[in-house]
Amino acid sequence: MAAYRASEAGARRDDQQILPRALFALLLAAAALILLPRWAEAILGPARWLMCLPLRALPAPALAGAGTSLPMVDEAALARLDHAALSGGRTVVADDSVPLLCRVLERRLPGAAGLPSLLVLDRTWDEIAGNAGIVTRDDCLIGVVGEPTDLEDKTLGGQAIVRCLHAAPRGAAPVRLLARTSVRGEGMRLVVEPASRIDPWPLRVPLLEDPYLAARLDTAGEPVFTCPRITEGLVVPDGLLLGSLRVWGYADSEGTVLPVGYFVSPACDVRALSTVVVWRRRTAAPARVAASAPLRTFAARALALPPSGERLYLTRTGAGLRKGAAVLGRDGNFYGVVVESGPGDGVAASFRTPGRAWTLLLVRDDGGAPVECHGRVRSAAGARIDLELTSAIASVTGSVLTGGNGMACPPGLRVGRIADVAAGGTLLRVERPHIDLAFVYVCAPPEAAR
Amino acid sequence: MSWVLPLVLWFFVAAWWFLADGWLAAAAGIYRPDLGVAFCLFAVFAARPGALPWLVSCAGLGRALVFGGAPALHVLQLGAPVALLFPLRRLALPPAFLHLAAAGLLAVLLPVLSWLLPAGGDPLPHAALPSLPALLCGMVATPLAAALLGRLPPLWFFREHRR
Repeated sequence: MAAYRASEAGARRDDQQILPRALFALLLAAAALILLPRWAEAILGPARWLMCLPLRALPAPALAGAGTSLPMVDEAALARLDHAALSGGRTVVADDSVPLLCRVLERRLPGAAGLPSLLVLDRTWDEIAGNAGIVTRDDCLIGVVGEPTDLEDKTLGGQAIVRCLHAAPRGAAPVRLLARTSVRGEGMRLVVEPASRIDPWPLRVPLLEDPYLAARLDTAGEPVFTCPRITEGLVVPDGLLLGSLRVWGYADSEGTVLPVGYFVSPACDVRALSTVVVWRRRTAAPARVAASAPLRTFAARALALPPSGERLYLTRTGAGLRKGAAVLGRDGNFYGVVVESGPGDGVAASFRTPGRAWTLLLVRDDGGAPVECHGRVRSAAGARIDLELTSAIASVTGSVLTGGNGMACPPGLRVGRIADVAAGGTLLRVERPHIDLAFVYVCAPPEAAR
Repeated sequence: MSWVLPLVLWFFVAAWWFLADGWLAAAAGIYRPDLGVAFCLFAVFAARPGALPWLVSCAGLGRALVFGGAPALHVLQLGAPVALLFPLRRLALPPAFLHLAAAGLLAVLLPVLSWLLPAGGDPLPHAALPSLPALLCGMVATPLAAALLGRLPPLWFFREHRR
């Protein structure tokens, strides 16, 4: 003990401190690490791994049966989703184009109105070669196939991307579309372009064919459709739905609105999308689409961390864990995602964690088209989980599956059952079954699966 | 090299300290000593000032592992109250009274900080303020736990030598 203290004089000086100067320096460094999360990850990841070495001494069940292949993804529900995603577009898009269904793995780059403006697909660039540029979902235009910048390309690993209509890429012109709507029964053409981040809706209308007619607009919500446009190789067909017209302005005491700006509220919430359709030219070479590979998973040991047991300490038996990878119970039910990954271990957070946002698929019992939605966990008690949805949905009964929640968290994993849809369709109550955590499966990212 | 041993020991024990806190919470509910507050009490009243950065950084890392959130935020959540209350150790008041008051203050400060600290990519889990019976129980049990655990390794190695 005496040897631990560097010197008696130094120790005396240390003991006489009124303020802990070294602690202040640590607090300053911690504040700096919050601003530099990449540095924090590089420093703290290996430190956490080292700290957790003794945890591996805790008894854990053997990985008996870990190699068994389970039907983890609900393929039947995804087939229904694909059918719904294709149905409207076929009637609008020209006959010289063929559809290619793509799953949305990730949403990035918050843009206009705070919505993500870039969708990462499960296809590579080679697979969508010869595309016509437009990307749809049912009869809605979602965006255009994007060219990745150098910075994005490094982080995407060759995955194809979609730039949403409200994306404003740096150093390039945004997509401006000619559209049409109707005001008091009269048709009117307008130009639609990306709005700014602080605007209430992601698309704005900078130019109207008849501003005087628009000034008399007293009801909003008229549907806005595309007009045919051919520029710079992009062919936009006539009649794809963009969204509904919105008026932003000042209301006087009599309820009359003085319009200040016109916006378009998108028909599809991009945060909720799990499947989109990329249209390819029929004349292009056949798509080199890889056969749908079964979901690749690795078994891992799991230690439920106290007090709630809603966090798992994972010790891998195979390759390295990836942040954002889906974690499934032994029975194939979705548990949550990896939130911290280090060399050989990681920590998973449960689906129930309050504040965490999820993209979900609601699969109807009546056989109707699945509902795509996005919500944030508000509270969880017992098996019941309440999610606040970003867009209202109709009341449905059925099961809840994951949507695309990341590169290694694919759509179609079983979450639970819909218990209730309340608060005008903005509160989803999910009943989650008990999950067998004797050991868990961790999903591998797509590049490892191919 | 004997000074390395206490540092290494605390590095590996810190995660177990907060695991034990979680297990206590799961077993005894709110009527228990809060080991997070007990750690802060030891740091405020008994630890060598020079050892505080190592103690707090390991504690932050271990606490982040068990409860979630960015480790840097946990370092701030534990370290800021310790820095704030540190001058109390020089006050010429009965130690029992000081420990009691500091335990009560810390039991309120830690949840308040969990709400106040920035909620970035990996925010702190929000903790609820303790009820009055839980606060009173903690004010008695936590200083006792801090006194006991502070006299055991590895924290014993970091005790200040008063003259």
